[in-house]
Amino acid sequence: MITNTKPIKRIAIYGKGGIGKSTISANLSAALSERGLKVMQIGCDPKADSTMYLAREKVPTVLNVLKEKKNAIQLSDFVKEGFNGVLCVEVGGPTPGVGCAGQGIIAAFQQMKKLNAIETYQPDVVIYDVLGDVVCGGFAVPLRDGYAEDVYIISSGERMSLYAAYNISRAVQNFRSRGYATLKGLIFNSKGGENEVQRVHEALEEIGTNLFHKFPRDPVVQQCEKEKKTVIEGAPNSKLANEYRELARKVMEQ
Amino acid sequence: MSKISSVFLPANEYLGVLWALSGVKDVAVINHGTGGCNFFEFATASDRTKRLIHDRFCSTGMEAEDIALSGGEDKLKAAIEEMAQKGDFSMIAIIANPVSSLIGVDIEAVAKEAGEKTGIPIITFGDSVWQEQAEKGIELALVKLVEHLCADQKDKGLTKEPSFSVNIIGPTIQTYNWKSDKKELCRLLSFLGMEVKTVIPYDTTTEEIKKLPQANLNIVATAAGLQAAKYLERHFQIPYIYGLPYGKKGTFEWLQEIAKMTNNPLPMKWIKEEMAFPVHHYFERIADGTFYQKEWTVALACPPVMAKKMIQMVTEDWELRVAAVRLTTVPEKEEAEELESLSVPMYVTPSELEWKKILRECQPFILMGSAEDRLLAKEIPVHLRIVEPAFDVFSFFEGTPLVGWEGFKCMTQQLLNEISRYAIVSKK
Ligand SMILES: Nc1ncnc2c1ncn2[C@@H]1O[C@H](COP(=O)(O)OP(=O)(O)O)[C@@H](O)[C@H]1O
Ligand code: SF4
Ligand SMILES: [Mg+2]
Repeated sequence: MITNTKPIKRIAIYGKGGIGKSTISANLSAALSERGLKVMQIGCDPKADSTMYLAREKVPTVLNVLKEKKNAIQLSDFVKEGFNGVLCVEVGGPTPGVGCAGQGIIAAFQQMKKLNAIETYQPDVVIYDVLGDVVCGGFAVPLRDGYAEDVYIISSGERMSLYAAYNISRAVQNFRSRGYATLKGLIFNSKGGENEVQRVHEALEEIGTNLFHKFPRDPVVQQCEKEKKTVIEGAPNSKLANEYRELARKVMEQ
Repeated sequence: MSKISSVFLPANEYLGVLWALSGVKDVAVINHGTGGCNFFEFATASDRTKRLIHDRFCSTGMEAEDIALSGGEDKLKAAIEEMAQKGDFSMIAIIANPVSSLIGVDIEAVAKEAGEKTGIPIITFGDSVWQEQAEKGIELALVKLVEHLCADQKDKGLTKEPSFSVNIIGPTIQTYNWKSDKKELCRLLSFLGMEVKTVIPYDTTTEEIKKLPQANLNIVATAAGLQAAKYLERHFQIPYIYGLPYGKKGTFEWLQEIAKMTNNPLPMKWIKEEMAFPVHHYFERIADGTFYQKEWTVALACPPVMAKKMIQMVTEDWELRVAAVRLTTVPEKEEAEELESLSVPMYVTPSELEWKKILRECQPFILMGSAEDRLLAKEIPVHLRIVEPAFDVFSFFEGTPLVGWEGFKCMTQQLLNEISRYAIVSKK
């Protein structure tokens, strides 16, 4: 077994469904890779679309491969290289209404550990893009020991998204006493709407965090999505691409 | 108070269902969940259990990815089809084990689809896992079996059995000493001209369960059998008696009650002979007469259904005092009221620590209970096994009943031998 000696930055991105976690995660990964860093992005959502625009296709999920290949499973079955060498992994999960998504995350993480995924690929940064609310123990696994150290919550000014942010923050706080992950801040992904900025600022205190970064709403995202690309790849000179680069810089400073 | 159990073996509803179904010999049982869990414990429990469930009980053997992706529905469907194809079974029962129950696998829906496809009747136990009382699981299994198999008997125009027939409801493969008790019950009932047809779910088949409505009387041996008996009373007008006979007087009263319920005369000549057993004569004879002292107290551990008659036996037949009773399950409401009226110190499912403390305080001379009680009260001089678990005794042959007059003799004999042994040991 290769022991990994270099420090790894482990980041978890949480937030309500559809808020922009995967968009931000993928662009963050791409921006970090531009800085010469080896990045592994792990999508922890049954939708398994976290790395879609990095890999330009749907990556086979750990759980599906495990089901199919059992003990014959290999890292190369589910770790796919995408844009600029970013390593793309999707945990996968049940079709809605059956199974246990939480157990899916646990099982996939166990499998990756068993196969020494981190030791083998030696990434500098690991990004966990985790589904919505922390509904149960399974979704909190990325917060636990050995996984993410820095947590970012994505939210817009919408009430439900701020409410989810509050819940996630509570989960992180609950785990603090165990020495688990730290909440580094809220990333504001604008959806427009009245008094949005004000609402986010008002909620920060209750959530118990600071505003880490702010992204405008920008149609360039959809334009790039049409080409199955991240903004960093599809519109490298856009204003938004630079915002993602700025996020990458700040994240690495933490 | 601590509820930690290192001596008491807490069994849950899930195990109760498994115990019940293992006695119904033509039902295939699919345990939907991970291999292991209690299922493994159960499957390896005893030789007898193993033989009973061999080729009939299976686990879908869920793995992590099944839990995550589909709740193992595909494996469950495959298991149903395989069991149906074997062609040996009249029915399939599916039990959700703790894992599939926790994540809410919709086994009812899978069963319905598969049932339509395979044509085999399927009963399901979707979330019978969490309750702490195994009795509840047995009760649930009995009710499901009876409802499923007897419901359409209503329209078939019942023919009652020509002879006076009796069902016994409640005992399972787990019931302590059942073989001997059954023999004595059959003997007693035969004197009233009655015949025991079926004992469910101890040893039965779906065909026998279908015939339950033909009986004239139900004897409910344990609380777990009550709901099924009530169903049969409601739909088929079969009266039932709750509880088994223990002790000399207790047995007489029990027979009297049955005779009254069924308008049968009591054969008094036979009863006189049976009751002539001279207990006190033997009591006075043991250990040169020096050991029969009425100050000896008894601690008792048994389920509520046994408690009343056991207390009666100790106090009225043996003329000893009951110092404390541990009820191993929570009594039904009416039962609780009746037991309370007996003014005997009674403790409902105390923890190990509590029970130990009670025993230390009341210092009984005799302990009647299970192997668990024996482990907790090693210093009590005389022990009698009356309930399970009984992992410290063997019982191969059917001549050691607890019920009825033979049971009374048997228990008295055991008690006297234990006292003799104690007398010899303590004289040394
Ligand atoms: N800054 C943005 N400007 C415009 N659209 C955005 C922006 N961020 C995200 N989106 C859109 O929101 C949709 C949902 O985002 P996604 O990253 O998939 O959310 P999540 O991963 O939180 O479920 C995406 O399809 C994307 O088109
Ligand atoms: S709440 Fe969590 S643990 Fe429970 S079934 Fe859903 S994902 Fe699994
Ligand atoms: Mg996403």
